[in-house]
Amino acid sequence: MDQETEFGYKLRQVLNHGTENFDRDIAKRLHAARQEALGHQRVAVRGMQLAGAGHFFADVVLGHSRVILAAVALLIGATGSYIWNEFEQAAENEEIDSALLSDDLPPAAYLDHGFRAWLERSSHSSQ
Amino acid sequence: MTRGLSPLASRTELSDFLAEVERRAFKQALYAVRDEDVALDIVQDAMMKLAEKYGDKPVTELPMLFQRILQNTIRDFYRRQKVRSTWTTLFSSLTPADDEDADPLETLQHEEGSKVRQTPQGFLEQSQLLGLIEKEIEKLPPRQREAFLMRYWEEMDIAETAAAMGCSEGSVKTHCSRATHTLAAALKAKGVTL
Repeated sequence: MDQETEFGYKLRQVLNHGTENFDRDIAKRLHAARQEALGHQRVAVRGMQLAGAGHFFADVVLGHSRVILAAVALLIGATGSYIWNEFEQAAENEEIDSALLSDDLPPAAYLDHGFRAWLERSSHSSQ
Repeated sequence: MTRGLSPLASRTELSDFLAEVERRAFKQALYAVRDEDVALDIVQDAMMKLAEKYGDKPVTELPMLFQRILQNTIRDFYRRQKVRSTWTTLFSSLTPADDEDADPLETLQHEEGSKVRQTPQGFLEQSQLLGLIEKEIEKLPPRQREAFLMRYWEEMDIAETAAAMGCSEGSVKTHCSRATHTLAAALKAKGVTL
């Protein structure tokens, strides 16, 4: 260590002694200043979890909003169509059931093979 | 979480850094402006600027950035003062000329026991010595004072000091050398040895 550096570090020891015995009021005000500064600290955005989630929502969800909306619409349409077909089928069955029940002929007659054969023959001969 | 090679400063790290340097920063400002309230304002301003603008920088860059902000804030104070009244700037320029021929370092005693003494007498002597040294530091030209305090009190290397001062490394060496010679000569004249 050269003389200049040695002298500099000796002065440093004395100066440090001055900071150890510090005026209490000034130390308090410095502490308050530090706390205020920390309240304004600039923070890297990716360092925050909430900010990261916000970025995910903005970039991924909003970025593909058209595709997502189209997929949701397709799903709703397909479900609606399925439910509509089910209702139609139920209505047709209801009509057949009511026609059968309101007829004079009992439904059990249609299960008879002889009666079915006679029906087919009579329908062919009438044509 | 990283940008480049150095980790970014967290709130705790920034807090620790400011707590570590705030007293020295206050003293530095006080040597320059010689008014406690103004010095406190300067340190507060420098802390705020560091946190707001560079609070997301790597921890290793904080000492240099803080010193640069602190010195700029002190210079801003000088400029405002200059606008208000011209005679106060004359006061700050009334500093002793550098004595290049003298070699006071030869007269310095190499005492290992020049640390803080524990006795009341030693404490008093240490306080008196501190007062003397601080007065001589106040008298240094601003650039010499900046360079000297950054190099020896803040323990910044020559490159960091040059970056903080916005000058060449050669200028830092010159400022430091002149400051050291001036301080040594002033202390010798008062019969003080370290």
